[in-house]
Amino acid sequence: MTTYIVKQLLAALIVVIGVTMITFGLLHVISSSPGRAVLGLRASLQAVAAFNRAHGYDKPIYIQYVRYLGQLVQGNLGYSYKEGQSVANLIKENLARSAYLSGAAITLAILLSFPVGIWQAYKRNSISDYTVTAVAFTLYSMPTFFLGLLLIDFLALRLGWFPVEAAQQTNILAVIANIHAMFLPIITLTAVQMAAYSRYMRSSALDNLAQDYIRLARAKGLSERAVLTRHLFRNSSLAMITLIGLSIPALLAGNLITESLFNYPGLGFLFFTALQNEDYPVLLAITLMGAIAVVVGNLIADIAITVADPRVRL
Amino acid sequence: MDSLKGHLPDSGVKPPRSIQRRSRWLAAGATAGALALILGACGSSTPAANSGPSGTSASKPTTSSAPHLTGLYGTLPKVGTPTTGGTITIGQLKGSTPAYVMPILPAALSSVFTSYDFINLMNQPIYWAPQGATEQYDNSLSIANPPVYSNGNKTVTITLKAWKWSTGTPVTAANVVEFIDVLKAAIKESAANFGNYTPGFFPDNVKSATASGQTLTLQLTKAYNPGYFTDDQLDLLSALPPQWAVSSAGGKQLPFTNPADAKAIYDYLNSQAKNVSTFGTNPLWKISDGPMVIQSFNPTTGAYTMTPNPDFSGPQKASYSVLSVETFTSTQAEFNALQAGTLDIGGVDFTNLPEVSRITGTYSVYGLPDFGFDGMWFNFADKTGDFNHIISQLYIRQALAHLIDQAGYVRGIFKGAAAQAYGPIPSLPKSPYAPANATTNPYPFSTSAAASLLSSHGWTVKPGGQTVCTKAGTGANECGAGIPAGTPLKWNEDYGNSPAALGQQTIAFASAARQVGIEIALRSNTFNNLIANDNDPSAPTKINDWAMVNFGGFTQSLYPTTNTLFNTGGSYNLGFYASSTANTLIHNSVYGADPTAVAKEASYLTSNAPVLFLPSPDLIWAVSKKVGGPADGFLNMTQYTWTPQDWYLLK
Repeated sequence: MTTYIVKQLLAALIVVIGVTMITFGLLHVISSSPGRAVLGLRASLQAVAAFNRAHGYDKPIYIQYVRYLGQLVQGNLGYSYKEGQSVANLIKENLARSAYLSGAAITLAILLSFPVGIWQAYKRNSISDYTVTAVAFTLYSMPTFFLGLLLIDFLALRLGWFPVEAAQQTNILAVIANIHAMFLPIITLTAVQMAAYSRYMRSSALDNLAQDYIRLARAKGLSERAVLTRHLFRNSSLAMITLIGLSIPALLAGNLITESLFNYPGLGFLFFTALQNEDYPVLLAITLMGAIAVVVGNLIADIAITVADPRVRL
Repeated sequence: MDSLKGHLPDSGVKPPRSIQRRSRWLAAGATAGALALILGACGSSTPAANSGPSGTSASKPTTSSAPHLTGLYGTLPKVGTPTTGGTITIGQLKGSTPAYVMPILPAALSSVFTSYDFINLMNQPIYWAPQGATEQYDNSLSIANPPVYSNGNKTVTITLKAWKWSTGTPVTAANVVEFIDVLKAAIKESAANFGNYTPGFFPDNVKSATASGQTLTLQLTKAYNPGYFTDDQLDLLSALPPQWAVSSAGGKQLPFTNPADAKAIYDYLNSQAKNVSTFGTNPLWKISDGPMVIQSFNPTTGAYTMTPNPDFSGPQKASYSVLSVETFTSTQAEFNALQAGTLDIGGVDFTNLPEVSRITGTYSVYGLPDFGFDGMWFNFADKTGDFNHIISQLYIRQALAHLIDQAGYVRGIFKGAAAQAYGPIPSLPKSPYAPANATTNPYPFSTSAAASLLSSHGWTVKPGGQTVCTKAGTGANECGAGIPAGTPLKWNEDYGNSPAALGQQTIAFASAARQVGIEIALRSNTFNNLIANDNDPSAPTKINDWAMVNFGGFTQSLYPTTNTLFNTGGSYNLGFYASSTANTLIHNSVYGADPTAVAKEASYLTSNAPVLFLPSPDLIWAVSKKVGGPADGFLNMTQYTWTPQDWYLLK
């Protein structure tokens, strides 16, 4: 296990460096003179040159990249010339909010979709299975912004049960405490993810229901409840672990659409704004974080599978 | 001084909030807009005026006590009777929140118009503009009396009124000199330190600035047209409080006339002014000569609160207690807040116009275009397919102008929230410099007129096919110099992929062109890509890659000369338009003495069509019916300017 983790971490390092190179290269292909993009068409050539010089964009790209890596090693993610703050500070301000929104939604989706998926498999081809399938397909195919708009329209504007905005506090504890304001954005994300998870869970449970060990458990005289919860649930969950591991980047990347719709600034929205502003330091930092999150998510999924399934050895 | 219109990021004095806002949320409106465009294009070319939400005619305001302005979209808020106290909330968009708090705004941040509003509320420009929605100085809100020119227009004398800082000390001419000296130090350090800097112009053209009490005397490096210098250069003038002339917190005041000290002052102020986490607490920023004083600033969201400046010297002090500026992550989120009634004043994006009737019961919704012009730009240097020779023919540009269905665009794409515009000085908003031909389209939409112009100049027009030159030569009924026989009318046009209106207009234009056998290949791209590449002065290697581009347009200063845009060698002359007549007229506007020079310049350019002029979209606001104020206090919001001291909660 330890050897495997060390190998994976080394591979991850190579992947992350590769991502930084590709991102860095692509950004410079899009705009070789960030000064023009940032300062605009009206900016004088002198201003553009001064901006590029001040930020090192007048140097050859490989020198810029080496300098960037050097800063990165020292923990310096750079300074956002559009937001007027250090990138580290921007990420610090937004990370917890995004992690809470995505984390709460993923957790809720898991808690709800696992039993729903198993129940659907158990009641397969029944009216209730068809009904839940129809709802799941509807939610899964529905764009997040549309679902969010519908929820805002009915639950916030027409019925007045919830505010139209997510919690506006900047302290994460205050945000967490404001369940009333966070209900709609979390439910919006949960609904879409739950629809997907429940389909995977149903499919996995159906496969397992046909396995010999389920028949054996029933033959032993175990109650149906025990068969489902003790045997089917655990074995069907194995397939979901990888899926959930891959969802971890969403914790960091946030959810742009939901954040935009519910007025909840987070990392996703920060990335979107940086993209519009060609705010290179922010783009590079968040892309880097995304790459690390993907690698870590995969690693966690691999380890989790070995814990959940003793047959698997890394 | 012009500034760029387009979506983020761009640079300029007053970039277009409407376009920034639309760029956030484009998917929802795109399909509906395109459909409406098709319907609109099928209609006639009847001139369209702005209309109100839900089809209400703007010429008949629904609220009897609300003032009205010709061309206004919707209805202005009531004047009403003010009450005292309370909080007024106004929305702003995340991504365009203030990130700087000093009037020497760096170029990287100068595209965010809210930064100017934020700064101006605490540090007023010496000359305040506009007056409502009229593009001229508002003398009552200006800190100085109108300038007086002498010495052959090379000396400017400015007398400051008896205004005070919030510390109780008077705003003096020395404070303005302090601004100029610190600004010069900033620019000397880097040209990117001041977003409104153009080499050779302010402050480079100020040879010396001297103060005597309330009198400021500027010696200029050369004579300028007083209209130009007053309206285009002096609008950059501010005053800095004496307490800012320091190089450290609590340090002694330095003699800013010494360049080394001015640099030290700038370096310190700049380091503080970009520190968003101390905007609400730094004592420097509590000193105000504007109507408001900052109370708090949230560095995470960019939201802030302000309280009225009790020592404000202007004609009107705010009667409410707190101005709360709240941040929204999208135009939809802001519109949701308007629907919920949790916001007093908010912007309305074009994508929300179809559902604006949801808020018209509780909000006054109104809009006007900002001052400037939009257009499709030609690349007069593109040699591909002899486009340079083709487009240099005036009759070709006239024919193309006939293919712009302004009325259809206003009705279909902008849902009535735009105004037709035929030149660099449109008829809306009002400008004292508007030429006589600003109100009548010289090239009304007519494919037959376009076909006729082509046929009469040696082209064989094939509607839906390929029109080609069949009479080469330079005669009156021939194609023109450099256009060989058999040349097809065929080129490319780039357009910005956001906001959706850019693509919709471009597609409609190309469709109309097809009807007279002109084949235009369309390519969409990001705004940043377009301004970087479809730009002959700064991207010379791309000169033959683009024929036309539609990225938006330019906002104008009070003095709407197109200097730098359409003069030969102009730094923003994107497509190398060249006209000796235009050069002379532009030169007169800037350096001559004729007060009507800029109107003459605009009149010529309107008819000469250096670009295909497009309708000017409105900047639309919704104001709660609980909030009132004089018309000018709301009209100026359509010009990116806030005077919140004019607003109040109604009894």
